[in-house]
Amino acid sequence: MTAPDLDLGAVAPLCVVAVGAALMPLLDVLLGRTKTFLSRPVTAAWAGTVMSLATTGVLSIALVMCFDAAGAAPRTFNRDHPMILMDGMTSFLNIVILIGSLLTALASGKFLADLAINRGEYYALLLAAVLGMMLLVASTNLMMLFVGLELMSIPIYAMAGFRRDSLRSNESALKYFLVGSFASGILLYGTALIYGATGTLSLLEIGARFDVDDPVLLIGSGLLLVGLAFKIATVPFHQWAPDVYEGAPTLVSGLMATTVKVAAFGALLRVFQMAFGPIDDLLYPALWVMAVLTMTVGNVMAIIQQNTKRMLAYSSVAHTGYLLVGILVGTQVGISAVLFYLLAYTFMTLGAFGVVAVLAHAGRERERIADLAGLANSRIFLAAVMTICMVSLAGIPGTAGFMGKFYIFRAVVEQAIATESSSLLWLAVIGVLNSAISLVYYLRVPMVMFMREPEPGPEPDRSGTFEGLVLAVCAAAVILLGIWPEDLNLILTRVDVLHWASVASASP
Amino acid sequence: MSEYAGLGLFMALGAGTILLLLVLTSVLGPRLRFAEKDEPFECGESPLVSPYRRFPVKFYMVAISFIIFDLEVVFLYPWAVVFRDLGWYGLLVAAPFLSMLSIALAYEWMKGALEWD
Amino acid sequence: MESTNELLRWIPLLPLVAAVASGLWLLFLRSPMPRGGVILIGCGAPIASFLLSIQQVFALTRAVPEKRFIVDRLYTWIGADPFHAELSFLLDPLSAVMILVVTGVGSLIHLYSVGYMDGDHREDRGFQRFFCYMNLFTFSMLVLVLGDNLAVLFVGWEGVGLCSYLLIGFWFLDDHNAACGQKAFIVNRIGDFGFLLGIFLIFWAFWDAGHPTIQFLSMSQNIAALEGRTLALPAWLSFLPAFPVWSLLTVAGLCFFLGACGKSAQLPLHVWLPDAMAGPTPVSALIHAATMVTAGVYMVARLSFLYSLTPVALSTIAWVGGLTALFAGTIALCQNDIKKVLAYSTVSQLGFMFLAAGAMAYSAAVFHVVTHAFFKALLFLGAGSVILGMHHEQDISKMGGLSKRMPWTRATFLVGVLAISGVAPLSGFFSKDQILLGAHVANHVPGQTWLWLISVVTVAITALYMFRLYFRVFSGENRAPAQIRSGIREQGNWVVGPLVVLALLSVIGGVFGMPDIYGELFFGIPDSNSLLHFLEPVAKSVAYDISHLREFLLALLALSVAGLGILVAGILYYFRSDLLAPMTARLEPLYRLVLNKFWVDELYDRAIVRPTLWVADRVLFRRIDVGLIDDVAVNGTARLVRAVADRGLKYAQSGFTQSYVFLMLLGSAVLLGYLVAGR
Repeated sequence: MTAPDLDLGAVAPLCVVAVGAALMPLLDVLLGRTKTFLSRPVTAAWAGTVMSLATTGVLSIALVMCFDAAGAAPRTFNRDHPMILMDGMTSFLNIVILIGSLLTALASGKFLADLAINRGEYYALLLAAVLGMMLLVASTNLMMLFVGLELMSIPIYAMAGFRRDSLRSNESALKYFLVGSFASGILLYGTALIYGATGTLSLLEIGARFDVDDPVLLIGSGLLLVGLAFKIATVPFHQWAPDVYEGAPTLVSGLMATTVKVAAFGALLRVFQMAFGPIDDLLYPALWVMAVLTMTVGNVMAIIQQNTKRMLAYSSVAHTGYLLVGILVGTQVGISAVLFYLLAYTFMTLGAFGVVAVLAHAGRERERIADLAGLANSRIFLAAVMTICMVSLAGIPGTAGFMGKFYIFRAVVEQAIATESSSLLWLAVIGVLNSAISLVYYLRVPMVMFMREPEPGPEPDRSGTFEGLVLAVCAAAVILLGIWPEDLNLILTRVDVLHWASVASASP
Repeated sequence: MSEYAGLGLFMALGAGTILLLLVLTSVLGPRLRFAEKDEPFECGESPLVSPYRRFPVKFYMVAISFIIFDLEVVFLYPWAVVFRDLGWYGLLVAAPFLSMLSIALAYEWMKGALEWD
Repeated sequence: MESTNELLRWIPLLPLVAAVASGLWLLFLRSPMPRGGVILIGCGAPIASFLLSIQQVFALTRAVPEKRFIVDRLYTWIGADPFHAELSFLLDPLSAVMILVVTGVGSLIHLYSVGYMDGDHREDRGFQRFFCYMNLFTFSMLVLVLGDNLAVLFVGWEGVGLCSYLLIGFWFLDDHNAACGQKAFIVNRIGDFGFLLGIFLIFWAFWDAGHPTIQFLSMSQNIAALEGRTLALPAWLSFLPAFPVWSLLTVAGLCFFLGACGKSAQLPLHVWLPDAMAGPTPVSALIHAATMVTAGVYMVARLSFLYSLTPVALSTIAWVGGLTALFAGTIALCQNDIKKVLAYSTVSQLGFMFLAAGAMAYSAAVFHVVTHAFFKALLFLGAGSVILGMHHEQDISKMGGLSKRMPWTRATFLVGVLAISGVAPLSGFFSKDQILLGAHVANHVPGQTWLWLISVVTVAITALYMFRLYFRVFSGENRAPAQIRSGIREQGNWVVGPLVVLALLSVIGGVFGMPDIYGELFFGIPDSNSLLHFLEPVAKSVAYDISHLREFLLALLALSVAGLGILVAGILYYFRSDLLAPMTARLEPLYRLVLNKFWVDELYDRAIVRPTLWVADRVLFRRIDVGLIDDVAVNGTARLVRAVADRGLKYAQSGFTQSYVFLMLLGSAVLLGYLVAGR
């Protein structure tokens, strides 16, 4: 037999992450076994820092590779059976995922040490999850999509329960696992039905052979949609999110709210682009309702939350709604708006979770919003970062969040005018109204930090060097993307999200 | 829809069989109750302690190690069968898989998971 | 056609970097920088950008006059087509003059501030904060004059307004100072409203004409496309002449001029400037005399391509300017606060500048901006020196006889007074001369002869009030209490140094724009009015053709009128000061009218402020805001939303995994049912 025509260069970033994930446990035990290193005893904190930096290093190598790949022509791994497509969109989403996880990894060193869960497996799990995410956004085949999804989810389940001595963390992991496996089952069932109806797992083939009148295919598509909707937490598949985000270690919650969501959104975008073209019109009302419900329920529920992490969880649900609006538009402008929004959202959400993580020292967690009172006096840096992130999440001009919303709603209105669709206009109106509602709970946070007197008790923690760096990067990125979005937007409109067409013609 | 008639028939048959067996056992089975019969089945031994107690996690470790390596090795069987036909390419493809296994083994070993105490 | 130079951006960016650096320091490090560091950064930045400006302007002058443009594009700021704004800077002759003034005079004032604010340094009242704001102001002002389109100009415009507000209320612990800052801000808002309207209007017009642009260069190239376009006015403006159809350019020009009125304190929006004197004196010198308040003049000169096509707007500008000059000059006659006199004098001089701009003598207007920056900054800094010497006493009726104790201040102040009075051959003489000449030949302005007469009278009044101020402060006996009198002395080199430099500039500043006739008659230099020729490509002043003799006579007239003013001042305040009391008694009602600044503030208070407050409080606040919006709309909505979440949605979030899964199944079932049924 002859060897298949493989392009290993196309998947080089994934390989790097995979090798990193495999070697990380080994590094961990090696560090543990080395009693002395340069005649100094290896402390747990020191080993944690090394692991964290090593993970960051692996992720940065992959990131550089993705930057290289972003400008190049689309490539596939196996040219005869293109199941992995590395095009502009994949590279962009990979970059977002890698940035998000890189920042998380960098901040994790001190965070884990503070919570006394400084264990090397964390980084192996993190890298494995990142590999899954990258696979997920690159896959053009339902089987590969499922593999990516599981490879992403299972390490995240474990990471959610990483505080083994904390009941809430256990609850979080178990809930996430139960509901998540259920969703995986639904997705797999949908895949099976789709395969049964079309005889193929390739998204492009499915799109080409889509028989709109086949109920089995429709049910399969619906189930596939539900499976992905669970991962991005749209209403009514969102209820796990607040419970899980609240219980999981804060940085893991941040990871779940950002990169996991980015990856799932990437898969959703792919499925819509490649496979669901023929049922766009049919899905439109369903997605419309879903988007409206998601925005509204997320924002309304966020208002009554007292716990910062739960509030951020509902906020992330609400942002899923805004992003769905962008998908709903379906135009090139809409998709690049979604991509921009994902990047902006990653920075601001990660920044917010990062601040909460800094304050999450074991034994004196400050997770309630009321715990932030007077933070501006004691830790002006943390308060400033939190304020910037909140202002950006609320979508106030001058921040990345504003530009993201601006691009999405501009795309909506443009498309609404072009197609004379009043329902799209209404969607824009509802979206803007929702942004207004969200001001209530986002601005409450700076209000509490700046105007309330702190409750008596120990001073909040300082951020460590790397944590501070991560927070500063997030805040700076939020501002820069807010005042300097044009260049990035140019890149995004050049990201040829419809490049799969050329691959389609090449495949048998 | 008619092409799915066979599927429906199959599902009906399956459900029917199960139902039938359940009904038959409950109708036909003899009902003699005595103390030993209410106890959990323990290979003919009478249970000494309550089964609901915790036992060492080490058992889990062994079980999980067994499952991992056993299942991974199962994957190697089909590969071994066509090993010669695949040639160097086959070896190349199997190498990452095998090295991953080795890393896992080394990890387990160094973590001390292979030692009972 | 234009060359680019990436160094240009650093002219505004240097002060910004300094401001941000010291601002962040204050924000994060709690304790201020050492004094030396503040001085190094705070003064170093404007000086560096002054040196850079010189280099850039030299680079500019090396080009042939038609190609004197240097552009520095940073990035596309707003790309919402067709509205397109670059963040980019433009150096042309007009902005070249302005940046030299802003950074040059600005640097001197920064240096002076080191001495002036020393007390604040010692008492830790924000020495560093002061320099942070001052640098921020310098940045904004440079953005304003270097902006190559209306959007960037507007950013600078708002930026200087903000800094002005911050600096007027610099000693904000005193409520009065804070209120003065607010007044300046609010009055400026009225003007800004007009300015924004003008931007929208002119962009819309250009867009409609097929050249969507707000960039100065392309606007001036395409302005012909707007000529003859008209605009229908809304019904409530029906009292205007020639209702309802007005030239679009006229309306746009008037909108922009409303902005200029606010910023440059012209009638009827002049009321904020005298109150702005609550700020530290270097602020008054930099912002409220030399730079910011001239932004309106700069803008009119910048948009001269537009104004030159609309005589109606030009006439309005000229008349508003002339009347302001006279009006503010008369008020200055009776003020007793040394800074208020200078403030009204500034308003009056700004009126002169607008008069020149309205008469299409743009180069004269810009020239006066420059010379005025020199001598008014000098006067303010001199006044600051006096105020420091008098222990923050500003009332001139308690001064007098300072010439012996403060010889440097007195000498430099005298130079400033002579310059502003228009005594030849100091700088003020040349610039004012050209303004009078412009008014004399401005045939497009109705009632031009009267306007010219007003300006001549104002020249006399200017000399009168300035010498009154000089005599009251420096001659005679000191009228201050003894304990203050003994402490009066010069303030050291930080203060005196800038005074001397500014005095020199006030003397020789006129050579840059010496009218051609003097250059030819006295020195044999042809085309001695280099400023006029330099500005020609950007702001083309009207060409006039009158005989040399007439021009000369006009100058003599101005000179003698100024001499008359000085003479009267000398009689009333120096030689025969006993005449003053009976005279004011005779003219009691008139005196009170002027002393109270024509009751303009009171008029505004009665006619606008109080009714507005009443409506705001009784109707808008209590009924509509509290009653309708807060209670019903905002709180109602919030209550509703909260209730929905609290009473209903909350219970869906039970915490039980099985119920989550159930809802998921339900959702899936609805979706699948829809998909199958809805196809």
